[in-house]
Amino acid sequence: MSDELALMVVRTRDFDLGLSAAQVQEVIPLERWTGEAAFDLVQLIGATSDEGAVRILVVTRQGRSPLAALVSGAVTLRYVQREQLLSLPAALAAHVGWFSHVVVTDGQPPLLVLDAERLTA
Amino acid sequence: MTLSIVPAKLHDVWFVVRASAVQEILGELRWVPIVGAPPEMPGVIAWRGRAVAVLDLGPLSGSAAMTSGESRRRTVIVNIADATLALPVEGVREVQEVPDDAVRPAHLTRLRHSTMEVHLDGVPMPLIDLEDLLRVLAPPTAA
Repeated sequence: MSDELALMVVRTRDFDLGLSAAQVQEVIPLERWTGEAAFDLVQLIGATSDEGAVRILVVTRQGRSPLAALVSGAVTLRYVQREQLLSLPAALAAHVGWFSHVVVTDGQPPLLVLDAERLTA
Repeated sequence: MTLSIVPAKLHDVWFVVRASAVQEILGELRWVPIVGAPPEMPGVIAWRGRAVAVLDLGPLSGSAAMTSGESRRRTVIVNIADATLALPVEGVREVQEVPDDAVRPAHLTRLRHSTMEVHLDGVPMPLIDLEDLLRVLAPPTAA
């Protein structure tokens, strides 16, 4: 297993939001999106979007149809050492089940990692 | 018999926790807010290579909750029922041994999740029942 995990990272106003890049099938500019209505990913989790280009992330999930997640602002690919991924404590997971891990790096916004399997839209 | 306690201060109010629950007392730590988390447990800190839930006693004592970017001078790390929590506070005193008769039902203090109070140097301080608090904030989920 690689020591690194590739994350597709969306910048929000207060933190970065990461999804396993392996589960992001496509990143499509909104104007080229012809699929079903997408849900606003950042709004769904209660955060505030960054300003910028609007895109659709097509996110795959096991045994279910892909999700179309609308995001705005910078979308970047970031590699994170697996040892940097800190599991969300069980006490908090009951309240914010869609996050699986957090990455805390000096000088950078916190990175909250979403578990796409737990996303329901 | 005596009870070992650690007094801590928040918003000029002293309270105590059982010393047996205390793992470490640290200085001011940066914490990471988690969107969607309850105000009593607003985020996490990184401690010994893992993420530990922050327990803010402010909302439980009727005072203001910590806001994003705010921090406190001391952080008390406690372990309760296999869960580790970080309590940001404004001050901590050394471990105190108090006789059993200094621990009484809460009469002069009022704090949620505290049914007992400890009289230390003539000052009543609520003894926080961390197990009860954790049960309410993070009830065990069905497997």
